[in-house]
Amino acid sequence: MKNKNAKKRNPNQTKFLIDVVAFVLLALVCAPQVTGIAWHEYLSVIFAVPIIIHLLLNWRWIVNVLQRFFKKLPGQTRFNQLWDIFLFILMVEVTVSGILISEALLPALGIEITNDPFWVAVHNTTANIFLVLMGVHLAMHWKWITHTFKRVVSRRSSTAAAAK
Amino acid sequence: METIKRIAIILLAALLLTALTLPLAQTEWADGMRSGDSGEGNMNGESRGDMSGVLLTVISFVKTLVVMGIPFGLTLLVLRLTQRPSKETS
Repeated sequence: MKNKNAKKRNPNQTKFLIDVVAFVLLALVCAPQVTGIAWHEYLSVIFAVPIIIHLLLNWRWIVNVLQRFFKKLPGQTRFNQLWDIFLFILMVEVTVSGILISEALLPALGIEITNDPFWVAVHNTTANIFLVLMGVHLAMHWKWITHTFKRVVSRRSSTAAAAK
Repeated sequence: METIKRIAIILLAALLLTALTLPLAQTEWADGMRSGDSGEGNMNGESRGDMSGVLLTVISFVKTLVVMGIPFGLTLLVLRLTQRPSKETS
């Protein structure tokens, strides 16, 4: 029983692992010159999965803050909520414009589209703004990231020591 | 069931934003951007030229690091300057 409980993962650690996956995917998605356009598009679709899981894992916080948004809230919490909304809007814009200029994913599904320079410009601009917003988002949660990282590492090293 | 409902809410919000975005392509602003397009460069607005694969990889990741890293660093700096050391704010 004790051993079974020890194997249970802390929710924060699950969030952390999902965020690491999302970050690695983001780094790859941001380098279409390296991955090629086809993989850039496929990885962008895959990137949506950890992002949706990230939103689901933080759902309680999102709803709680939205419900109390016009009541008394710490300034930093209010800022985080507004920033996250901008981040979500930007992510949707990057995705929509990316789909509209798709060179691999849509043609592979049998959908041919003409490449509109307007959507190319929107895609490039929103992608760069998205990265800026993401940098701030990471900094706002940096304490949590470093704290959880230390806990994940210490948990792994203690598990490894116990196994010896 | 609750998870499906939440995913549906996320997708609905995304669809709503998409519906608001698509008409932008019909505006004069979009036409102006189309006529101003030079047709050069790749999807990221950059020209690959004769760059080697390694250099291209390094530049791509450095660009991401800089675009994300500068606001990240500035935000950490502002947080450090504005927060009292003993106060936990997460």
